[in-house]
Amino acid sequence: MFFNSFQFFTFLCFFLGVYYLTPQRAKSALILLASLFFYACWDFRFLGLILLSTVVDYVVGLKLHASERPKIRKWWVTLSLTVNLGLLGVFKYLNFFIENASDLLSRVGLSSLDGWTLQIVLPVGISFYTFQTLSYTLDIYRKELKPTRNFIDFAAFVSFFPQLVAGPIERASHLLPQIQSPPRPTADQLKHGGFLLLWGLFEKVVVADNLAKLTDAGFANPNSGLETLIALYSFAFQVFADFDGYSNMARGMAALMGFKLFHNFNAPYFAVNPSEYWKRWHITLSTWLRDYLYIPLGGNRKGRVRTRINLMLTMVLGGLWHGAAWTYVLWGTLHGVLLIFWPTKYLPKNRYSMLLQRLVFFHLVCLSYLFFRAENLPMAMELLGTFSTWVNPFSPAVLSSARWLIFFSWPVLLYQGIQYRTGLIDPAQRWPLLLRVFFYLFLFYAIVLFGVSDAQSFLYFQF
Amino acid sequence: MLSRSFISNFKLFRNAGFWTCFIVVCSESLLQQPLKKRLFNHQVDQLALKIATQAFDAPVLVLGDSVAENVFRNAVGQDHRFAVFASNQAIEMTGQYFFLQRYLEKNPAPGIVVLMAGEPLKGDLEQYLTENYVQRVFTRWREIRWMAQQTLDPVFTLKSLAYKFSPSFRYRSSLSTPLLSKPQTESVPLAQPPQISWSLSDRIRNHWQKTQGQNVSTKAWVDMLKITGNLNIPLVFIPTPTNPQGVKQTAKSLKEIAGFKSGWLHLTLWADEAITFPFDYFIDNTHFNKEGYRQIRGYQQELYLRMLQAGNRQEQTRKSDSRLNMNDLTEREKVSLPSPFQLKGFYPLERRRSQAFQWTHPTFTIQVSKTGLFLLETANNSPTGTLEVHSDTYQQSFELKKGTQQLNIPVSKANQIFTFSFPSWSPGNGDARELGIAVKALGTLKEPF
Repeated sequence: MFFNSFQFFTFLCFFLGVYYLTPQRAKSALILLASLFFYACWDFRFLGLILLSTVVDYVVGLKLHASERPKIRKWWVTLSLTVNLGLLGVFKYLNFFIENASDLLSRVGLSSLDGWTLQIVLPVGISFYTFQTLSYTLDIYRKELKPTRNFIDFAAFVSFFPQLVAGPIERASHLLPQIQSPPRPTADQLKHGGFLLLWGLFEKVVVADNLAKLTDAGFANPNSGLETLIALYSFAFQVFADFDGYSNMARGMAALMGFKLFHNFNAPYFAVNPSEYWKRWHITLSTWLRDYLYIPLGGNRKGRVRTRINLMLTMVLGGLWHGAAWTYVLWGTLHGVLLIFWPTKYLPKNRYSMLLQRLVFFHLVCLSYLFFRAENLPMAMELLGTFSTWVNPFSPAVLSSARWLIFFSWPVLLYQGIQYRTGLIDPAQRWPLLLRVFFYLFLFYAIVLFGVSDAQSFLYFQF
Repeated sequence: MLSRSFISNFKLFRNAGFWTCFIVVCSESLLQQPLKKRLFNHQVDQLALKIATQAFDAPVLVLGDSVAENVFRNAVGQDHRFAVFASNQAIEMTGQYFFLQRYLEKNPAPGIVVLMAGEPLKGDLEQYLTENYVQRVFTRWREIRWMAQQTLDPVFTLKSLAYKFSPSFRYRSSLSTPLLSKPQTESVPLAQPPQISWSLSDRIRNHWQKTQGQNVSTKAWVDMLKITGNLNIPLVFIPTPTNPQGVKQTAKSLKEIAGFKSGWLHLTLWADEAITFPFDYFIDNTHFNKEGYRQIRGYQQELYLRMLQAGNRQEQTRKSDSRLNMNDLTEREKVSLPSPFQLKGFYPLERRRSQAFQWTHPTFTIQVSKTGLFLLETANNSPTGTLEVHSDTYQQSFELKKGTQQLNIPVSKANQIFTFSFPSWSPGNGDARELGIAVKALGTLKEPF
């Protein structure tokens, strides 16, 4: 049940209707029921996994809070980490490790592990809800959070359907209190929620799904450097519109229920350096990695070399979080290298220099997408190889692709620019009435006329 | 009256969402007619427009899939005695049924209806193309209601309503094409292995559909049989010509359709087995290539003549000997028109919820003047029980169930008298009549062909 499907729209209307009529004390139970139904609509076999993760972290949270003995506390937190990361490891990474171990063994002349791989389907959203429940346990372990005694509230926090399958990755300290006493939506929230749903849907079905056609074609038949470049630009805007669209719709739905969720993006393609980029791109993941991986590793407190090692480790694991493939590891490594070696201090800060830095960094991000999007390393190398071949930039195929790219990418680029200039996440909310009406009409008719209607999956569901 | 200050203070009028909705509703209402007239997406749209804007009085109405369209387009040409509404398999039987309904709504009933299809009973309105070919085109209330009843899917119905109310959504393809041309690159989609759906909602829907027994196409087919049966129009099924590989599938389709023959005597199959042509007649194993068209000309000619003869003959027969409901029958008697029936043991005509019917005595007789088939249709309120029928050459008992039911009785000689017996009962509440069954319609039908 994708957000951009009529099924989901029907489900949401029905849910909101019931939600508004439900008494306050029963709202979290309703959220839980709806969320489990939503998840079961993907694959009901995986309900067991999310419930297991929920029960374990609920019990561990209470035990951690009840005990003051460091050994026992450590034992409980290890249990939570083992179960959560174990589930993630089995369902997401087991086959990857078996295949690579098998490859390594056969290279050194030992018997390979062919046939050891398992027929496993990756449970939707497992990376997201695992990180969310882990943050709950780790916060209690650090004594930054008190556990909830109400299992329904906790289960609703873990499975909160607007952000269950692709984030934003919430923190218990932010979302749990809202679930415990669900706020009544204000008129402003309802308006804002409606706008976010419309904007998110536009980003997904108009921008991302249409650019996907160009990206898929470019990656399937890499002919020349120019075409690969267009495919990379296309993918850059596709992946942004896809994920930002999902996040905005999640925030919009939450706002219609009176909730506030973290925002995930803030004009990332206007960043001038890697550090700024990671403060603007997939913010909830990068802050999670910062708080629960980079800082515990020592952060920047243990000298220059350790800082660099910590940065690289965080980025490589961040890459691996996206998927069990060497292409993701390479993508993460590339970003790690950029973070470590980007000469921020030595670059001039004047207007033109900043513009140039922005352009250069954007192209490096696009280059990293080559590994992110490629199905495997040979394909990534083949795509890189196309840069040695250039075709006539005015050939009909190139012009037609460029036209398609511009036609569908300018709205998100412009909106990001306005976000960047104003420093607002949702600048449209501040526009005068007439401009907003024109903007909403533009979004509505763009969705109606150009929206891809066959409910394409969101890219980040696979991670 | 609302004061100006009230209106200006009212927050709704300062809400961009409200004004957006208002403008959308207004513009969509204004666009309904102009867009309907100008924009067409594909052939099914054009056929729908053709039915809506042109008048037909053809003895032969042709429905079917794209192969039928190919075959008949060449065979029939511009001959006005044929109304060809064959289009595409993607419209499934549901689309064929809606075309038939729309045609009959505006035009005189044809002599015969010919349906040529490959897999007529396949489809639950869930195919990828169904949305574009059926849901988007057939947006009358009656059609939306019918589909909603058959699919029992609120999401499907919601989409149908979106197509009904938003012409820009309905004609989006035609509207967006001038603004945009697809990039000149091709991608090769990877073949996906078939996957089992583990989605809860899919499972519930599949289970529900299984308990319903028939798929949507079969239900549309049964309704099509009812419509043509009620209007006494023979319905002819012809399997689409195929290559030798398609014999098995065609045989299966023929078997499925033949299964309906016993209940619906106006249904005829013009083939007992698959009509096959060599592989090299086909362009894609389904449609004929140029050479194929040249080679099948004889088959087309034969089909053309057979359809025309059957249509003309049946049209003449139907005009003189049509199916009558009880109201018509009584009216005929009033103005002394010759009726094929002589009735004994019938109470006067009654009406209930716009349905005209006549109660019978527990024993009643009907004399039928013509040979062929005699049809008796019970009314909705007719009681359940066993109805015994006998004449000098015929004896049969029918189990009457709840609801309307059609009995088909063969008439082997002219003026044959049938005696009917049903257990006597009395409605009570001051009505002391001894009743039998409630008859809604009587009719005669010659054995087609």
